[in-house]
Amino acid sequence: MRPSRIFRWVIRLFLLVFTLALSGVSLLGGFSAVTILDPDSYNVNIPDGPIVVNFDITNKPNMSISVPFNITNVGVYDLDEIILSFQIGMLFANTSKPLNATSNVRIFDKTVNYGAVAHGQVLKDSFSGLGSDGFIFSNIPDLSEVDTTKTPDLRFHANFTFSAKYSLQLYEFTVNLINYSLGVFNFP
Amino acid sequence: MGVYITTTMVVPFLTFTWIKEIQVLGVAIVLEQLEYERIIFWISAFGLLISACAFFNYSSPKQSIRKGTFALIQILLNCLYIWSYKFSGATEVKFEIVFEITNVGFIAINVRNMVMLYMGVYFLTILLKGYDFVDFVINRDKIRQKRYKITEGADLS
Repeated sequence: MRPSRIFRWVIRLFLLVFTLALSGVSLLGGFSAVTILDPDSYNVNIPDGPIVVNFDITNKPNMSISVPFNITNVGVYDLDEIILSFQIGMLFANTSKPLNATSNVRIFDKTVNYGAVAHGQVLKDSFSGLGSDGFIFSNIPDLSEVDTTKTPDLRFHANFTFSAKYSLQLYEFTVNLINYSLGVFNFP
Repeated sequence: MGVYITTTMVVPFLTFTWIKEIQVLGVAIVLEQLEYERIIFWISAFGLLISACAFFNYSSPKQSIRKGTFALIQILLNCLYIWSYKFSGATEVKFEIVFEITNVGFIAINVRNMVMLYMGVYFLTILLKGYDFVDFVINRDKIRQKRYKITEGADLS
C-alpha cells in the first residue's frame, strides 16, 4: 500500500470520528434543549412562586425583592454559566420637572452567576436583593419629588434576562423579557 | 448534486422557514424578517455554488487534476458556506417574543462555538483535498499509465 493511501485513510478515520462526535453532540444537545425548555414540563420555572417585594422608597435600606426560581436539568449535558439578571424601573410624576412630567428611573440592577447545574440535578434558589445590594439609591427619588396627587403614585416594571450555555458550552441561549409589570404603589 | 442541493439549500431553507414563527402557549416567537431574508440569501448563494462545483467534481475522471481542482474548490466553498452562517446571522438567531401584538422580549440562540468546531474539522478535509491535488499532479504519469492499462485490458465484448 502506498504511503499516500495510508495518510488518506488516517485523515479519513479522524474525519469520521470527529464528524460522528460532532453530529452526536449536536443531536443530543438539540434533543435535550427541547426537553428542558418544553413549556408543558415546567423544567425552567421563573418565578417559581410569589415574588416578594418591598418598594417603600421612604425606607431605602429596607427595600427588597425576592424571586424564587427552579431549574431542572433533564438533559444529557450540564447547564453551564447560568446567569440571571434583573432590572427594575420606576415611573412617577416628577415635581422637580415642569408640569410634573413623568420620569422613568432604574432603581434596581443586579446580575448573579449561579454556575452550573449537572445533568439530572435541580437548582432551586431565590434571586434576591436587599438595600444597597442591587438597589441604586442615587436613582431613587425622595418622597418630595413624587407628585402624589396623580394615581398611581409609583408604577414598577422589570426587565429580566436568563442565559446559560449548553452542550459542552457549544450552545448559548438567552431569554429576555422587557417591561414586565410588577404593579403599582400608592402613598396613603 | 441532488444530495448537495438538498443538504445545503432545501433542508436549511425549510428549517429556517419552519422556525420563523413558532407558537408557545399562545405566545408568538418570531424571527425578524430582515434577518430571515439575509440568512436565506447567503445559504442559497453558497448552496448553488457548492452544488455546481459538486456536479463538475463528480463528472470528472477519477484521480484527474480537474477532479482534484473542483474537489478543493468545493471544500473551500463549503468552508465559506459554514462561515456564511456566521456573517448572515444564522449562528446568533434572535427571535422576538410577541404577546397580543406587543413585543415583550426576545430569545437568542448562539451556536458560534459549534460552527467554529465544524470549521476545525473542515480544516482536515482541506488538508486531505490539498494533498490529493498535489498527489494527482506529481503522480500524473503513473495514474495515466494505470488508467490506460485498465482501459486496454478491459473486455469490450
